[in-house]
Amino acid sequence: MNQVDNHITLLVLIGMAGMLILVTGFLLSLVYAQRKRSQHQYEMQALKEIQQNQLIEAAVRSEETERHRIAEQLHDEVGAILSATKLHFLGIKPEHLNERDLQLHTKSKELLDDAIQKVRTIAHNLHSNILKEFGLNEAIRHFMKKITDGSMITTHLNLDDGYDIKESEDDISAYRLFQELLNNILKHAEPSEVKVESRFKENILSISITHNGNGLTQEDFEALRYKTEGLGLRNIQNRVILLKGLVTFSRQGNSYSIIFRIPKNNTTL
Amino acid sequence: MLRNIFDWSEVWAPVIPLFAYLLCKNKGETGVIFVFTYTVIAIILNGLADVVWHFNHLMPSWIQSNNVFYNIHSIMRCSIFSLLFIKQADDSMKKRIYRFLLCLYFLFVIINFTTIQSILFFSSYIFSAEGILLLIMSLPCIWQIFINETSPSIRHQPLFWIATGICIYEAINFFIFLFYSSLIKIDEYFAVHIWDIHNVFYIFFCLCLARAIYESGR
Repeated sequence: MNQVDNHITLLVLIGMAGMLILVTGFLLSLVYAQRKRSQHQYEMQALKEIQQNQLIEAAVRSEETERHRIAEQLHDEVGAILSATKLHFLGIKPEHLNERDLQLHTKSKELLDDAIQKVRTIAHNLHSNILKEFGLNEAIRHFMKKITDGSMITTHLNLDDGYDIKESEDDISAYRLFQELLNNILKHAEPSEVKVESRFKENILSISITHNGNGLTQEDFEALRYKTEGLGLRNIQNRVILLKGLVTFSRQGNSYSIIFRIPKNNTTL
Repeated sequence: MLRNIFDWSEVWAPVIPLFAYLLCKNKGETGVIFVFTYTVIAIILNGLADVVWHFNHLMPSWIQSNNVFYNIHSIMRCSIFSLLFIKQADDSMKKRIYRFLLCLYFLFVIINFTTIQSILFFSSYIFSAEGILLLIMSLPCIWQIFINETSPSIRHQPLFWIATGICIYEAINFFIFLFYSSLIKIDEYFAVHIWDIHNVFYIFFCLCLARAIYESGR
């Protein structure tokens, strides 16, 4: 072999090595750039989720503050005025009234008592005193009793007494979630029987509401919550996001179930 | 035994994507059709080339060289994958440029085999032209896939595997193709062994095609 032949052999080897390095370098740099881009997108997505959760949290917290303010004003101001009105009203001697005025007096007294009772009920519903003092289970029991008292609905309550965490902020949201769901059931599903159960296991609180009315499946919920009129369902979804929980709607035969699961003590679902 | 398996690698390697095609559920996809067409042609041409090479003493005098099959294989590979890249190109300007380059390539093939070289001899020019053309088309294709991709699923794109396979195969073998005719004359032993490297990357290329078909059927 002469020198030119040697050069050709060398050129082939160097050329192959050079091409291998170039192509591998090109592909690796693309893979690296793509990974960096994916990571950036992932970080942006995470940041967006954090911001969204902060907004939801702010909205839910301000709603709660507003509820408390309204409840306090109803109780302290409207309730006080109504009580004072009743006091003044009781000052009217019925024996001095004729039959027509007596009837009006009796009716007015009934309406006044009714108004005082209604204001108290609304104030208590809006406020979360029981929740703060006695915990979530007691608040649910109290709410169930209040909402179904005097109605034809049969209720079954089976709450896990093992859950005794006094963590008011998250429990307020869980309680509001329960209130919203139960109100929706009573308003739209028209059930004759409602069963509420809770279970606290492995730091996850599960609350299930089963009823025999005209309920929602998961598909119905997904479809309805994006509609403008579905404010209640969107509130439910917001609270679930805030609690980092999960809500599922299902149907078994003639009964519908809603189960919401809330992680506690920094657990994740 | 191992040497024999390696010598016949150009025949059995295209069977891998063909096998993937038989298992593929999405046989109608453009990339899959092109790869299947190439695979069938490659098996036939490489099979004939290897049979002629191994049993050339039994062949009639007019077909004792397998170079004609290699030349046809190169033209077919270049045509099939160029057409695929033209079909997959994302803008009309790129399509026009690719079509123009493919026409230039065909013109060069005709001129080469009518005036410069005989089709019965291994044509380094044809192989090199194929390498250049497919590199010109595959590199922008890979770049385009990376630019357009927003989720981390590039490895699930059939075209990515086809373009990567072609790009690596053509880039590594470009200098072998370019100097193979000269190498055969100056150092046959070296030329035969350097063709083994070609065979390794041909197996890699076929594995990429098989992966592309597999990803289409996912």
